[in-house]
Amino acid sequence: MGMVHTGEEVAALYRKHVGMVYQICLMLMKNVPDAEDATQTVFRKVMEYDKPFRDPEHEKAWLIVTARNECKNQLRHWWRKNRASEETLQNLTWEQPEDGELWEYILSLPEKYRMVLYLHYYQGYTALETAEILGKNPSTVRTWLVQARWKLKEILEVEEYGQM
Amino acid sequence: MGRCEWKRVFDQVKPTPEQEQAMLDRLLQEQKEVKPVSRMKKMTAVLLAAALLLMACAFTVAAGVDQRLLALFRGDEQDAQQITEGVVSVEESYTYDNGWTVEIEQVLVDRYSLAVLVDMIGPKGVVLNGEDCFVDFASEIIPEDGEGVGSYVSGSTVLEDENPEDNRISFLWQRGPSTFLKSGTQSLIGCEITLRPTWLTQGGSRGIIADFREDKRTFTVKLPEQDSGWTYQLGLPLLVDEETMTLESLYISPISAACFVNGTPHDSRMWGPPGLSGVYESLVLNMENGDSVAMSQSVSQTYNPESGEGRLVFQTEQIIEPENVVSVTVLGQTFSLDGLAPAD
Repeated sequence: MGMVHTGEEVAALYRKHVGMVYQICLMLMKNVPDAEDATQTVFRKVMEYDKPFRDPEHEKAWLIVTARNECKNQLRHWWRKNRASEETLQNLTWEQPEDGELWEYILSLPEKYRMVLYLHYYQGYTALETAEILGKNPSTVRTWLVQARWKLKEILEVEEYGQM
Repeated sequence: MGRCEWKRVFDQVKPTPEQEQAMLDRLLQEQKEVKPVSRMKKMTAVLLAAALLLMACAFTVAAGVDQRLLALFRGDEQDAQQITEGVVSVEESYTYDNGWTVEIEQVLVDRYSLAVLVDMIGPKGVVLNGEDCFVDFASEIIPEDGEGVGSYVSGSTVLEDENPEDNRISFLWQRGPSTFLKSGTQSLIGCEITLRPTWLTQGGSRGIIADFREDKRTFTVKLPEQDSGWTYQLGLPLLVDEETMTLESLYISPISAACFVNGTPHDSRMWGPPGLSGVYESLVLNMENGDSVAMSQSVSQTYNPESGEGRLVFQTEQIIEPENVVSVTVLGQTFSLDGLAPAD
């Protein structure tokens, strides 16, 4: 695969992966405007990336890692880009109200759990593949997956109990 | 929660087609616009210093300068004299229908940076400990002296809270200069700024604590006519990633340093890595007495991809006397100011 430089090439790559990159950014940044900013930055970095991707999987993994790093980097900074619009609180809409609640529960998990759950359950990566992408030991990722499931179960149970 | 629930939830947080197209349009447009970048480091150290000073000095005012502003620069009463002419005492407050009061205390400004000291007071019963809190303002510089696409960066820092159990919290809200695609960077000297509080948030913009957008109340502040900073025209080669750029000029004030550089159109070194991203950590002002003063944070870093101009503004880690700076070190290269007359 070649380097991505032209507008057409960027647009093609963008169309292919924007859903995934945006989902990761939204999951980590927890709000739409910041997720949009981070998504744009990730693709800008692709435009500036001067090495070829080995294969489509390398390309996808690179975007996942870059999205995660970009969000973590932005979250470290208090300094925020000024926005032309104040309408930064766009609400997400849900097919079922409980989906919105589930989303909130997911966002309440620590970042490491959110990432492994997303990559494993949504993107379908195995624990080994997830570990490779995140640069962690496979055993660490397996532990995180177990802990994340327990944590989520705990939150859901507390919520159900609270509603009784 | 099984795979199908995961899939259902995440399928709903994909960007809409309109959102997707808008982001792509902005992405492709970015190459034609001024792109603001912001970086913040060493803030913990600065805030710790601020906290220590605050504990020692409480909120006394030295030479008309609020101690909280001085504390950010680890300054004392003598240092306060250096920045007095850049300080405007505002001391205006406004109480909103939602019960919140916003108090603008002081503004500290030089040619390319501006800091607003603001207190937020919640309704009775609200507890504000400041953790992960941000305040934001819509702001406008008048007259706007620019052509083409303009932008600026802004942000806030929560100051040490003496009483985390009460309903009061102080912030420093800062913004960089407006930079324009066609006409460079606007000076803040002698301008007027209007500030309109927009919201107070905790943990990102989803966690709004107080929303002020319904009320259009603005605070207007006339900024000082005097510029306490000096500009040096250099036009000297600066090696960035082993290739030459031009360090066109330097601006040094008691609280900030700005570098104006020229590379080539669409110059990837403006963004790094490392390129100019290394300037912040490498920039040092070398003083007459042998001291070195580093930067405590990046205020603004903008780049005009068409002309290849880069403008980098940093806040110094302490208050300095510009006339005592004998040389400046950038990316390991030292530029002597000896014999150079400030341009203005």
